[in-house]
Amino acid sequence: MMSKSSTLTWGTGSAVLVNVQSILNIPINNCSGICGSCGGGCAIVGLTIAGFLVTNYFYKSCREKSSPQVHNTTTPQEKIQ
Amino acid sequence: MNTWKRPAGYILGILLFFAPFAYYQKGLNFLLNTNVAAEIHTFCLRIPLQELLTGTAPKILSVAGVSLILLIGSSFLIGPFFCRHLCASGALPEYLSKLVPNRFKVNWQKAVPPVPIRYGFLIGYLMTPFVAGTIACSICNYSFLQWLIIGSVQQDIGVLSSTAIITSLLWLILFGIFAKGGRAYCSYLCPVGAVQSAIHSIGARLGFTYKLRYIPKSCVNCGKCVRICPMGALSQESTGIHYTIHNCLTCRQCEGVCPRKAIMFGQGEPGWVVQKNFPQPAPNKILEEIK
Repeated sequence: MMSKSSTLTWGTGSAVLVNVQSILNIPINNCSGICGSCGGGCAIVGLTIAGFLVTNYFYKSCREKSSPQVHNTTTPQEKIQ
Repeated sequence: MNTWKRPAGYILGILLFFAPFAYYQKGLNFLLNTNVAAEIHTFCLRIPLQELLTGTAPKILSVAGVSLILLIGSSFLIGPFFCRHLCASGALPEYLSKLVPNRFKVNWQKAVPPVPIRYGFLIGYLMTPFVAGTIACSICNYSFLQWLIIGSVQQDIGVLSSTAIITSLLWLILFGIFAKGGRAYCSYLCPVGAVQSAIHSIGARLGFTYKLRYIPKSCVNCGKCVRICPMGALSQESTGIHYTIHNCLTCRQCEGVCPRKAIMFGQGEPGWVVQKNFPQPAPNKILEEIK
């Protein structure tokens, strides 16, 4: 089971991420982003993508470090198929 | 459920909610004698919710108000009906992902816990009026799909901001085509789905509402339901199948694939193993083993 603190961390992080533009006071007009119209949007989406990629990389590296038993999670039915 | 019913429902969803069609908005405009724009944004869930949270009197007899009531009522009684039958934005990446071999796909739900993130994003969206946020709609796949539909129908692609381009990459590529099940976007970032799941989780406690029911005696733990679930809401344990209602769109693919009819959609007791907390994400479990 996932601990309450871990749930809160993920949830709070997500809630903050949506509002990162206003929290960091990123200008929404005439920014130096790609399109020059809304730097905040790029920041939110960019941080979201980066966050997921980093977490997935972290997950994979953890799985590689762990015992081979963790790799072997297929059920007998899966093996048959 | 017949295989043609789901795609037919999603095509109907495009005709009902997305410009240039938007027959739902046009019909409600006619019935309520209002004059809001017939496009996806006037149907946005966030408008009446934000009015409620900021103390502004929500307009119940408006396109957004009626839509919210329908969404909440249907979720309570029969689960996330909109996600299940009508949301083309969620369905498009799911169907596109079927074209890609599984070995190229990432099982995001296994690596990153979806439930706290989807509710966190929902809370974040609702907090935007209090922190003077102005671009909470940055991560909106509905906008991009409407842009695609208008561009296809009217042969006019218009202007697309960099934010929309990055969002489309997230929605269609990273969380779509190359995600297991193709619905990682729905799992993590859709506030409409999160609201429906939260209400469905309350409604499912009552006997007269419709929900996915599990009959442990009939289950042979073959895992077919787990593999077909596009949201990663089911997990296979030694004790049977575990279910996360907070991440389920009740698409009923698990019901269709079950050889023993151990999963059924209907009224009555849910029958699932009660999980007081959300499922443990894999990295934490592995880290504990390393320690």
